[in-house]
Amino acid sequence: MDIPELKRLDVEIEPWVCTQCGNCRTVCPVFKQVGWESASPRGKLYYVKKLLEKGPSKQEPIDEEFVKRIFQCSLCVRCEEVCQTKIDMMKVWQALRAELGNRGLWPKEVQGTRDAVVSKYNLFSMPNERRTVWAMMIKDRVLPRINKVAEVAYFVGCVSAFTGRISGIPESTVSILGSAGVDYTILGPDEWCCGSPLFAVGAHADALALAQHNVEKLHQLKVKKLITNCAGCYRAFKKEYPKLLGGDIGIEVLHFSQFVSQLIDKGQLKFNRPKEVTITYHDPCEIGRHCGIYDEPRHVLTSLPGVKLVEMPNNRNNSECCGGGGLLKATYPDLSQAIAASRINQAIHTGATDIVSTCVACRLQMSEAARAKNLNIGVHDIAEFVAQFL
Amino acid sequence: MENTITKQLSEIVGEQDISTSPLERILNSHDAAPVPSLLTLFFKTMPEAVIRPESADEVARIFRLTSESKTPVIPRGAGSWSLGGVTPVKSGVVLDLVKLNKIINLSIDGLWVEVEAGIVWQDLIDQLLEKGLTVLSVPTSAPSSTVGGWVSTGGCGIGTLKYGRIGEQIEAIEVVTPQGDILQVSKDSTDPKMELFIGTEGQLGVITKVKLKIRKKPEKSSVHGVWVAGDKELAEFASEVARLKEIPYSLKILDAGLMSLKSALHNGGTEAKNFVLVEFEGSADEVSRGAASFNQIVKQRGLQASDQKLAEEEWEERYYAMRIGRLGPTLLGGETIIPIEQLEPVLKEIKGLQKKYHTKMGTEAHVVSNGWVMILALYLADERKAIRFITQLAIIRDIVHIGLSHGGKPYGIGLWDAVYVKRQFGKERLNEIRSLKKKLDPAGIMNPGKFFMAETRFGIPLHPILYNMVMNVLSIARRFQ
Repeated sequence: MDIPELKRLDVEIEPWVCTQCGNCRTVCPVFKQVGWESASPRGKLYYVKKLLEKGPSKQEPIDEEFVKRIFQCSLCVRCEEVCQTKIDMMKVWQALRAELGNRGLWPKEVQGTRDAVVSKYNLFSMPNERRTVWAMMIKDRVLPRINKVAEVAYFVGCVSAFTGRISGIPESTVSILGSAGVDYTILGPDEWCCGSPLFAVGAHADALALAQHNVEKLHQLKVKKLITNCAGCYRAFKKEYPKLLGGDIGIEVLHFSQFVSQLIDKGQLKFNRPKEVTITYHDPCEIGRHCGIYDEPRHVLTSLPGVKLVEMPNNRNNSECCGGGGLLKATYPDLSQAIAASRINQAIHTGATDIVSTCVACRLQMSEAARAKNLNIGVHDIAEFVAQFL
Repeated sequence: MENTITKQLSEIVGEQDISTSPLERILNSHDAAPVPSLLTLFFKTMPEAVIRPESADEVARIFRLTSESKTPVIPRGAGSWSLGGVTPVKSGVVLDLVKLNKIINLSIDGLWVEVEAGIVWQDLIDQLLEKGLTVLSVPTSAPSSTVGGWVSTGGCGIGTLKYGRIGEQIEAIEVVTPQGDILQVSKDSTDPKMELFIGTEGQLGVITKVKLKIRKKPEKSSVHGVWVAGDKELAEFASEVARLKEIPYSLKILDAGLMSLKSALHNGGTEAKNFVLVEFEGSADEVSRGAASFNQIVKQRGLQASDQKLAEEEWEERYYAMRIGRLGPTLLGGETIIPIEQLEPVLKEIKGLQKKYHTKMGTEAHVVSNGWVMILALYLADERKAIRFITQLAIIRDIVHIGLSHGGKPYGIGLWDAVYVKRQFGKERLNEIRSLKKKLDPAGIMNPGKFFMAETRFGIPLHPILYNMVMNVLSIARRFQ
């Protein structure tokens, strides 16, 4: 059978390149929970190879269990990290998800997310004018910034903007930027979803309008540097936009932790409130493995007075996923939570009282899992954590 | 299989631990080898069900059912081998040991660990390292393969030079026999002898527990890389290093062909010469002495030490022999264990295959004792080109034959190399294995249709002569392409 999406992303040969060594099985967070070969990356590739081997003319229904397994994946790409033949697994998963979409086989949660993003420009199907709802308590400081011309733009992202429970993240970001005296702009209702959920399912064409809008808007405001707390937004701007828009977008894209790291080095941030605390740092998949940022968040955290950073055995490129990515949280919430609990237990094992991350989805996911499973650890985004020391 | 047996099996393990889904069955119908469907037509590779027991007791209860109904049982670890050891031949039930993955007991003072057989080597190593301990030797597939899998398939790999094959590191095992008895067998047992279960590829029962000797995490290690131009020089050098008083932990040869393929993978840059990688580990004193003696040999022979960075990178990459697979896109390989003094002619003949078959080859060789070398000859193929691919598969046989014709042995039997079983074990040992097989598995349900003799789905054995004939026809067919 033909799988055109594998061709589109130039990964059609990969099912043959896979040696079936099984290294991916050992590290896959989903396989660790599910334990069936069909949940392993190599198992999925083997099935795809068998489909392709039947020849382009042969059409047959795609196995239902396979569809389920393709979405039982957090796109953490640890499989890619241990792969003998360095298969670009992210592209393989994107292509397969896109193919299933073309065949009308997406889970309803995925279709719903896609429709929300494409029609309402945000993940939650909310009126997009409500993007500044997070700033309710700090209106004076935020509203004047909307649509302002500035060199730096703070891209808030759907999750921070619409999730009341974590409004502390954008609030803290505003405090830090204020404290460092940074002039910045916010797009407000003109901020559209970055398209990250669409990239997670290989729906690049659907993401084009969003990318064009965001970049155009940023250019209008003369933005040279974009900062965001969200790992998904960061990855979208950094890795997907240049490919989608055919080149450099002309804006430097920084994760907020990188920006704070620079502020610290330039002496623009003073931490006046030391706190003796032992923490561990969770490398989010989209910041670590996907984009290679490991050092700056650690630099920030170890610059805070009184903070002792201890590492989990699985850190940096071997970090274990929190289970919150790849739309897994929407499609298979129990599986997603079980993965989070496993990661939190590793954090607790280090003796740390708090875990800090650089991804709003990780933060939300781990807080929920800690509460649900009664695990005693403080969960913070790096912005929230840093703001406590100002 | 009757639905009733599936139902009875699910009563043993629970519904969540048995699958009869088409997808799960397809994925458990093969191992890591890319075998064309044309060849598997001869066998009933599709299992009826996959089942995941959580204890030896569950395994025993499963066997009581299957022995009664004469249902074949195929034990499976990570499925990372490629000789068909876990490929069903007469359908049946695949016994996936994925849930038997825990450390049961650990003695820091006694330096032993008791593990469930399905534990992955890397997971075991990681857990031991947290306590300042580690295993003695490891398979080159340690990031994926299981302890039970390596015990069942020969146990020769990294560290074997210093600590011996896996059989020498096992204190005791727990085996569930095909009739459903749970046996505790130690290295001192006489009936049955423990060694008969090592390397017999799941023919005598399912190993569910292994008590392994371990060691303290080495105080120091030292990695060395050396370029050696000619094969004769290479063989002499390797022999001398293997006989050092301070035995290296690992002594590995990457021949010029392999180095050139690796270089192609990184768009050139690395020299296409034989490369020898040596690692010492142990006490600081021992390692320093080993490194000094080694450097002395290098100097005396006038050899060129490699860039230290390259040596360290290659050591880091020790579990990644299949990297070059990307150039294939398919990677095939043949394994054999040869006397060290035959290294030169064997390497030469393997290189000859490259010309004969117009393929690109590279050989990785692990010196596994001061007398023996394990050869892994890898070559590029393309599974997508079905007919040519079948002839490319036949090169594996040529590789094994080269080893055998130089006094070597096969490394592993499985389904595809059943014709060599006597060569691997010797007549006497094979008779012992056969008689224990008769005793423990009278119904012949344990991983049937392979090892002793490859048997087709129709119950017709593939006679060695027939097997050779088929392979020869395939080789001849190649010339007409």
